[in-house]
Amino acid sequence: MAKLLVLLLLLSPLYGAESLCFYASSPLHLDKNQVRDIYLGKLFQVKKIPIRPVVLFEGEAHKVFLKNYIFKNSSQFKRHWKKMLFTGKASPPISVDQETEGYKLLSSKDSKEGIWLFYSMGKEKPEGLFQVDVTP
Amino acid sequence: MSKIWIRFLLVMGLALGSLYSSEWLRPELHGFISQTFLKSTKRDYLIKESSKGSINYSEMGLNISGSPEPRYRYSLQVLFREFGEEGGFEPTLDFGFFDARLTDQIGVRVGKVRFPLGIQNEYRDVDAGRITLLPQQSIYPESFRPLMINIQGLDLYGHQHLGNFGEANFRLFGGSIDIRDDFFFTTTMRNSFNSPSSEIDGRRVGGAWMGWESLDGNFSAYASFAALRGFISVESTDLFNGGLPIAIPISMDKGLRLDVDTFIYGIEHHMNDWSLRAEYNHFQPSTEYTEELKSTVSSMIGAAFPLGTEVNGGSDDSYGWYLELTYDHPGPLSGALSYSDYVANTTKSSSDPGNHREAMTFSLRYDISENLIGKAEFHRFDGRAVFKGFATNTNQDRIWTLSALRLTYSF
Repeated sequence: MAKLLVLLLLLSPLYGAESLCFYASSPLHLDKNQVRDIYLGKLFQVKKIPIRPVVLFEGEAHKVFLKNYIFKNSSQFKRHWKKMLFTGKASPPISVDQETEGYKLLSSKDSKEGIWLFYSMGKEKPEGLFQVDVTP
Repeated sequence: MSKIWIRFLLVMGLALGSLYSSEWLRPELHGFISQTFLKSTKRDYLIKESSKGSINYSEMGLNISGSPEPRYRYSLQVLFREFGEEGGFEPTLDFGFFDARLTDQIGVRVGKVRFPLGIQNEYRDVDAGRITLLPQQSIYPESFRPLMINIQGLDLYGHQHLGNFGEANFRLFGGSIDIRDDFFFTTTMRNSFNSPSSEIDGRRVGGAWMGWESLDGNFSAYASFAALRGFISVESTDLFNGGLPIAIPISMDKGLRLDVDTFIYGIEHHMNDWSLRAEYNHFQPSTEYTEELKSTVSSMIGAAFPLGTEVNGGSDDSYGWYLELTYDHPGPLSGALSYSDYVANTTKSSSDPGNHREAMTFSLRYDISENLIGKAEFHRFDGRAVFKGFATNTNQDRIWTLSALRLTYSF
């Protein structure tokens, strides 16, 4: 039993990485590079559809997201966006405090404004949103 | 640019954005304000009277940007800046451009754009975007900011993913530089040659920036090059070191041609919260007498032009480099430690303290809140070579220091 617990503990970071899900306000398929480019302000649209990213302000899901998709910690991510903003290159993603706030924001958006993108570690797919298929 | 034009652009930016009802297409207004205190020992450095302690280093920026549609973006920033005797806290258009995405990978910015040079140059004013208080002075001297900060022209940019080999980025840029009249080099020229109309005309500038980043984002390497081709106008015979028997006004295009080439190479390595970066810069200025000047002088004195081709014999190359280690923890406190080296003239001995300057720098940044940052920095210098004329006095001690404090608010 103890060995099993140790094994579970060792595997828990991997579980965290795998449990991060992306949701969008319309059906969407992305690869990992596109996710990174969208959240770093390098890519604004996919297949000519505008993409609007939403981030969590902090929390475990945000840490997992930054570590596995952006390769920066939260300070480095914020500083990156200060640089983008004050050189006029791009505007930072909208940030929300809670996952539920993110779901609500995506649900309220009209598809004419493009596709809104968010991530969370929630196990159940939020109602009205589409799970994004992210290929490595 | 006049204040009226700046106000006009600000109002136009807001008005243009308000035409779009969609929430994310509306213009965004951001800004920052910072106050810096500098105190040097043994000499003035960067700003006059810094040896007595000076607060004459303040910046305030207002930034408006928006996207009429996702492929297009406009952005402009008005900057109020006082840097010792430069700026006078007068509003200037810091940048203002229109950005069009040609494809997902390639775009072009047109207008007054940032000068992409090395790792730090285009971000040198973004205090909230870095840990150190001053950008590395061995490569990005603050006194040369008017020459290096922006260009009026084009900036073509792009990136390409290379599968398992990471990602390549590039920039190609070209245009002109509008050099401020209170740039220290211009004012030094005016004072030295008693020539109030002296100016530097940064007529053409062009260059390239290339970068590579590994797939996991932990390694990156950059190379950048920029060439400036301009003219200097001076109305004085003093410039010829007494070599000419006549007084002749030298106007733009007809007097001195200024060529400046600069190369910056850099590497970065990230290890979780730690980063190690190094950059090297080779700076090659040259000032030549133009053919027009030579023929005018020859015809006036009835003899061959007596002063050769290049002013000072063309021996003004310099180089600088630094190695910087930063600790960038997600918490409020972060820090940096760096070693840098600068040689003012590559043809002279680098062990001469008047031609050389090395520095150890320790920086601390504390994020007081999401918007408010406090910074403290200490530099210990060995050597007297600096970029501003008033600080190079051979009688001064070779060991000296600079301490700096800064508070920045951004939103």
